[in-house]
Amino acid sequence: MPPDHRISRLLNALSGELSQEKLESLGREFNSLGQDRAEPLVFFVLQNVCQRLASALEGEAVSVERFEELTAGIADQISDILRDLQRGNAGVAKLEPLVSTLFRNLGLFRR
Amino acid sequence: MKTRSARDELLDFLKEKSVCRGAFTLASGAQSDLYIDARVTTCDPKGAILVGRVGWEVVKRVAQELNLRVDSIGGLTMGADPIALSIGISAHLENPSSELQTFVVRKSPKAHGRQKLIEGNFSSGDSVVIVEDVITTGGSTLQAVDAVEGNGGRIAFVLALIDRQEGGRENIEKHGYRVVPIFTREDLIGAHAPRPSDIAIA
Repeated sequence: MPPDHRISRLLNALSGELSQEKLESLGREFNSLGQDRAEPLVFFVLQNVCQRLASALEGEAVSVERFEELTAGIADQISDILRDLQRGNAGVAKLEPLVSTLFRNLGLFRR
Repeated sequence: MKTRSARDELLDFLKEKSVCRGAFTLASGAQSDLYIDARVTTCDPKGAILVGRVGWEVVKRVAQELNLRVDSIGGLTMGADPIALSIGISAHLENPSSELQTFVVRKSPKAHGRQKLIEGNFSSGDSVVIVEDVITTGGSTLQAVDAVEGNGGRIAFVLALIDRQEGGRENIEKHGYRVVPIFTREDLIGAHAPRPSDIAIA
């Protein structure tokens, strides 16, 4: 399988600091990949995770501490799933922990 | 008694309503001691009237200086939306036969239907002023520029309510577009206030 440059580019982007603008950009690329590749569920979830987080950050005076709380663990977990995809694994089992992290960071769990 | 200009009134309005000091992470990911929530000004009826009056005067002046026609004005949702509409309303109030129109650029294309990226009153071939509430890196401005040019528009210039003076203006101008800020960081918090790069934020 030839190297997937689009996934490599995303991994490269995720290796730096996250930001609202970067999350929006990642969300657009995940949306596009979901339509181009054979793992639509994975990219659908990744797109929604990025969009939910970007929406939470948009237009808010986010303190440095709050920003770190909101984004904690997200980039690492997405990167892990992308590396699985590069190795030919769909990485579906890792979606649930990722969404749990998102919900925890956003304070959405009711239990 | 000297009458205060609309520009002075708008500056005071922004200082009172939109300027927050602290340690913030901006949309670009950069850390800053200054957060500007322009929308509480641009979405306030009085603020919107001031933005429209001041913005329309600037658009007219710059268009005349550059000898350019302006057909439409808009930018990336949602920061640009109230500014563009306020300026369009001011133009129409001044001259009911004004043909200046306004539009909105989506952050991503609509998933269904015509998958439009630009909503409102924009046509291919229009000469366009791109508006922005706050310029930091220039990324969202360039996203709007790409959308307009990708749909056959021509950029007259970029109008920013506030330039944070953090390199965004230069980044946009590097791509060949003139940037006209109404206010700068210095106008809002003074020339001697430290820049984000001078401040260590824990």
